[in-house]
Amino acid sequence: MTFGQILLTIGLPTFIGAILIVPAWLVPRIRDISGLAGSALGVALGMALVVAFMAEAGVPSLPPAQKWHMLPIIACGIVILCPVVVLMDGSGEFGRWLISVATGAVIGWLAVFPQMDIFGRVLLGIWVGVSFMVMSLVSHRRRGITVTLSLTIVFTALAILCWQAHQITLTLINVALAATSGIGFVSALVAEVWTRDEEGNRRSIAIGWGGAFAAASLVPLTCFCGWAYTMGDVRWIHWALVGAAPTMLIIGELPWLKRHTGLGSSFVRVSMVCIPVALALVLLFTGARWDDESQSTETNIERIEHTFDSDY
Amino acid sequence: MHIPKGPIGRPLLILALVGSGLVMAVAQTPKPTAKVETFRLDPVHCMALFRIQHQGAGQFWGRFNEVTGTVDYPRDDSQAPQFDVQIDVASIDTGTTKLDRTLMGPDFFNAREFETLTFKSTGAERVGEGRWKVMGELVILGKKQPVLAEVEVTGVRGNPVVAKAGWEAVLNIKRTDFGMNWGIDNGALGEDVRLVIGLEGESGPPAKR
Repeated sequence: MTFGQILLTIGLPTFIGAILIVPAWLVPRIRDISGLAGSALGVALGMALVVAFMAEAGVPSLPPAQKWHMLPIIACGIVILCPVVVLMDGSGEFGRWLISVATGAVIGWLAVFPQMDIFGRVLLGIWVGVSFMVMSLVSHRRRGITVTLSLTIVFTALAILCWQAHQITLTLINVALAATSGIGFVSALVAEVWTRDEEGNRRSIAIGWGGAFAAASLVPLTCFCGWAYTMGDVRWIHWALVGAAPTMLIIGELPWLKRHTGLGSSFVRVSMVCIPVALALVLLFTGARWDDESQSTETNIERIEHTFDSDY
Repeated sequence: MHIPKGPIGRPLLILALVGSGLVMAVAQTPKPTAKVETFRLDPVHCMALFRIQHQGAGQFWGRFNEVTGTVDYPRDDSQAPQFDVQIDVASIDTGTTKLDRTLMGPDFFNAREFETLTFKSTGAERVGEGRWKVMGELVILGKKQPVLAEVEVTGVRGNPVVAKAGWEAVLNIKRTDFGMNWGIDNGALGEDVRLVIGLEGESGPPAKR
């Protein structure tokens, strides 16, 4: 892979993300425009997927020529709907449930990857819905650094799984998503450390429902897509652990934990996300298995043995 | 011309005329052509090789080991072979398991969605004895494109009941025509692909295995 290609596939989406996130979270006049800060991360993540996909695989056709080409089409929908979701931000439990059910239903209906029967699609829909419930809950209560750092770690882990599953474009898409989340983390950290609000307190950036909507949709989507096209030794348990990791943020909302709000508590919350991610990577690289069913294709030696058994 | 006279001369003349007439009649009768037989492809002795340029430098070769289908063909080459060939994507073999898996992945042959590549003849033109230009439809990644194959009949052997025949087809295609685009912009892999398909088929009653 050439330097120019890396710049195009990872650098360009990250640059677009920076253009969207940095002013919306750090520049005072822009930051105060209603709804902008809440949709910046969501729009940036959606665009990162679309741009990274197009840099590698070209413009997707409608209807998609291959099932995984549905990813950028759904991401376009996320980019368009993000500001709408932000408008519903603050509408209370009814709004949260409505977005959760609608997003889960639409993504479960649209995303049909290989090996996915009706149960797989329902599971994806439920996963997206539950993820949004958790992410929207923490999107305002917790600092932007908690969620963005968690997303950076999760997308990095997904990129590693995709690489091990022999998927080049999906790997680069997840790297672009991780880099965009990383831009969000750095911006939120800068806001936290160097800026103050009107009362002189450290300014805490919230990713808003827009960011929660995009993250809750994209993590399960890329996870299911990676699982569906696995060609290596990556098994469903690895994808499940990494895909479910962002929902670990709910542990920090348990009664005896939620009163801790300091900067240190943010990193404790992030470490909860890291536990399933680390477990997945350790299981993957040590070759340990929790399941009996192998998804891996035959090795050449197995193929030769089978050929001898059947043909001679 | 001296014609012998007497009791033997006249019948001899008649016999000679009738004989030469028969010889001329046989010579002018169209040569009987062999009937078209269906040859079932033998997966053990068939393969499809592909060649692609790597990083603008060397030509890299890989192969598909599982090739099945049929060829309709008369043993005397009086008609063009009619191909109906299926290639199993999962049988890809580059000699490196990791590369095989990458090529089976969504960036290339996408074996999870598209299990086979197919080639079906639509027409042919003779270019020499045992050599044909076969027009056909090649399906890769579910996308059908017209292609031209240079086919050589490599041999026919058998008895009146069963026969074996072999063909070698060479196709030059552009992979972007089928939506396989990865690696062209960054110069990792070339756009032009050469496919060399070696086939052997057997006609007659199916052999018991």
